[in-house]
Amino acid sequence: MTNKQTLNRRQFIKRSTATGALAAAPGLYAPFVHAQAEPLKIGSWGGFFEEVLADKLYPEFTAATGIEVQSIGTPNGDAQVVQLAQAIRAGNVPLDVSALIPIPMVRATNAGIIEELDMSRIPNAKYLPEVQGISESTDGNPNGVAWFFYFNILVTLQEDYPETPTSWKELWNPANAGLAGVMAQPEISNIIDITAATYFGGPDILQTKEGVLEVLAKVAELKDTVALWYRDEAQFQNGLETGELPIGIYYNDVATVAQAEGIEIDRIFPKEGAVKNPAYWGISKGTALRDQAHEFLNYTLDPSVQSLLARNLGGGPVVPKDTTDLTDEEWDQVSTSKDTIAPAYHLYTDWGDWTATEFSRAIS
Amino acid sequence: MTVQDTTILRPIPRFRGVDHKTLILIPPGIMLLVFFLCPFLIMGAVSFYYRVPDGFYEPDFVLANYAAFFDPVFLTALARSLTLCAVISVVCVSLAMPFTYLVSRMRRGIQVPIVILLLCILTLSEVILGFSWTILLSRTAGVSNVLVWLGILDRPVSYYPSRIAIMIAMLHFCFPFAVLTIYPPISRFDRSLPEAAATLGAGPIRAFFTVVIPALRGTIISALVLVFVFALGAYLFPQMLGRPADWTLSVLITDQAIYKSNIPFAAAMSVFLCLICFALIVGVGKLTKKSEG
Repeated sequence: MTNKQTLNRRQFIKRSTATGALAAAPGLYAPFVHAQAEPLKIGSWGGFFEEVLADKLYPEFTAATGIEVQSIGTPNGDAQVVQLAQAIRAGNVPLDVSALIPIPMVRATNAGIIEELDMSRIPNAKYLPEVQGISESTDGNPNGVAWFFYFNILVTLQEDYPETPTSWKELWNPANAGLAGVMAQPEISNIIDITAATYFGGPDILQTKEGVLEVLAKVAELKDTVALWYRDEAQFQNGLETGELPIGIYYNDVATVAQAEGIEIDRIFPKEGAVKNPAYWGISKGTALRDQAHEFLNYTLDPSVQSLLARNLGGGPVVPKDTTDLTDEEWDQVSTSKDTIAPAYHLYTDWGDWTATEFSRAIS
Repeated sequence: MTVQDTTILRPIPRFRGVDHKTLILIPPGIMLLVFFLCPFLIMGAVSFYYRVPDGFYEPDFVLANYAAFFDPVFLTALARSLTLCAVISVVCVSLAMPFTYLVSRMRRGIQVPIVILLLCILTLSEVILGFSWTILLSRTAGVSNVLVWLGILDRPVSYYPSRIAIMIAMLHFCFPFAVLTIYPPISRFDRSLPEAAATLGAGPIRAFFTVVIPALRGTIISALVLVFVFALGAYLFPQMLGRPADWTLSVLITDQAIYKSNIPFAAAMSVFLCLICFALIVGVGKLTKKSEG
């Protein structure tokens, strides 16, 4: 993140006062509010995401609303929150809007750097699902809206699994000894949530630490089948390509790209449910472009924009299928109509350190 | 300016009784202070900071980070790291000693290419070596396919993840360092010593073990310590080629620092690892002095 473009507050106050005075003139408000002095700074994860958004989404948004956007690449995970929090505490607002996945969103919320939302200005939020659609502040008010869903699914190589498995249980199948790849971090693989859904009838057992330990005992049985606990997608992709690791947990969007590259895999949304995680937009506390930020959030929830995101990013839409113009085939590429697993985030936030140690104990 | 001033070297003046030899030590001293001691002290300070559960830390003085280390998960990883590195350093130096000795006795025209080859290994990063070994030891493309072709195996197998796979890759990585540490003293080694042993009736192998090895004891010990400390920092090989049960403390430290943002705990584990390393080096140094005395 660069500070070069950071808003000079004094400069901003001068300009916004002038703009505000003009805006107050009746009949002139719309174009003048949008003739902002500074572009809306939107942070998303550097690399593929940031490139696609800067290329496909922001120009459309600017064309539709007149609001200029500056795209900024951010790290993912804790580093993203730490950088943002340090800047905001130092009196800078390096980003007006940030893309945040659930755990960083919780941390950013706890750090007090995310603004509460005025939902009356996000009418498109009516399309959001009740579960995982909206993130809440510590006071229970909305402070983030989901703008796409991403799924952890089961993948298998067609050559090794001519009969496509249907259950997560395949990961425990002794016939797969030494063949599976699973992410090394439990908050990324969500293997604890998967195990609870597959063998313990759902997430209720994860409400107590005793229950989590019971689930972890089942996770420990993966020691025989999982050959690679990967920290980098490339490691698993390499295993799939060479046939060394013909089964494992992968992201649906990345798996779709792998299929397009010619790796013959099946993307499986298991009967116990694929893991569904939302990516939220959060508005930085202290932003001077609160109105524009709200407008941006509302824009991305528009069903036609959701179709655009699904086609270009490979993320699952947050609006109902019938509101979009996605074909059945397109929808099944990026999402599912089956039941999904919503992770028990308290395992990775409030109990984060405990879970990490117990998970290490279970798999080593 | 006279001609004399520029051509005649004047003796370096002494500053208040400090001679020039001491002055020369100042730049490296400052380097050590800035690039080693300061980061180490910062790490030491952070290891006592309070870990805020939401991913941040605050200046404080708490012992919780050290207390957390006394969990069997981390103690086992520590024991595993120390054992792995000890085995690697012993095997590595045992292989490097006779290798270097033989190379040093070869013609110069052969010595140089061998040393260049070793330097080439040093140019490869841990990542490239790690990925190469995952291919060589794999079921689909690895050496087991050759064994199947030769009729030794029925079907190809994967030799990783395993402890042996980690050891092989780490040996590959550490071997050039061991050889390059041993090479200068061995090439300066007085040839008349093994020759004298030979005149007294010792064969080349006996002369190597009874004359060359004891005479180079100091070199061997420094090579052992160097490889040990070097191996202790390896993070990628255990991670790529081992199961979680083979992951070393370096892997767990990285997990805590990078994935869990638990910098105070990562710092506490690092301080612990550094102290153990330091104690081992001092201990080995003392033992050597004793045995020499």
